[in-house]
Amino acid sequence: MAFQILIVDDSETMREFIIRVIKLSGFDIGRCLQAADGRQALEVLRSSWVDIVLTDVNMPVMNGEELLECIAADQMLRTIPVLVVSTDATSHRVDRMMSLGAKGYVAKPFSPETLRHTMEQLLGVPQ
Amino acid sequence: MSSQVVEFLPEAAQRTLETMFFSVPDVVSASTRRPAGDLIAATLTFRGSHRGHFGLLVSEPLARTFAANFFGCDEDSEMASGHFTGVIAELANMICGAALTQFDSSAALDLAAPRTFRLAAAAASPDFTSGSHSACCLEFPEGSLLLYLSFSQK
Repeated sequence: MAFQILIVDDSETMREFIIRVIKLSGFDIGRCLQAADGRQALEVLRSSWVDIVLTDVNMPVMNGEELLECIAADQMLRTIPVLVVSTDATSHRVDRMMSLGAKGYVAKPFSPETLRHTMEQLLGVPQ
Repeated sequence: MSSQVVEFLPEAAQRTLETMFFSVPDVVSASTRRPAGDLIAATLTFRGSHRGHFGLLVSEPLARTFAANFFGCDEDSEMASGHFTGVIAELANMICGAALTQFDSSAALDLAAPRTFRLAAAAASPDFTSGSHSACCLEFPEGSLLLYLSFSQK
């Protein structure tokens, strides 16, 4: 089963890298959608089927925390697992994002295997 | 404080380069000698529990190699040449974040967006060294990468 992914990051460079890493990891990727901030992400989520969201924290317009709050408040979206992918791996930030509804947290730098394993866990794919 | 973080900076840099850029340096040292030739510079500030700034200088050929490795393409490809300053910005962000997280994992951390610029061989170096600082140099066949991490007084 190929999964539809939404990558939310204000850096096009990082979005392209994450797509590359997911493909490299052997994860069963279907359509890969992209958004440059939380607001764009919500538009995509409300118009397209998405199995999992990978989001950065610091973004203009709407950051990762605000995106998580909007997803948690939306009955149609709250079941979609959100994985935070961030440079900030302090316990302060991880706890904050998990308390807002994130289901996983991957700190940069990360290996393809780490990203794949975490995504499969969140999607219930047998390991 | 800088004496504590000095050990984390090269470790964070090597882990970032190996994991996400598939690059391993030949030599790691505390040298602050400016890399030769044309350079790419990146700088960013951080605040929260700790305040300060991070800077890097990288030889342009090495920056192109990093970009090619990051995207898994040839150095001459459109992807590598069109995005290589963006790749160096990501490199700065990741090394700084990894070093600070390792230094104080319970801190509140807020990293600003990195700023990158080109430096011709004859141009003066930016002042990354103000305040207390840690520095390290990673050498590769294509050139070298010089890193600075400085803390401001609160």
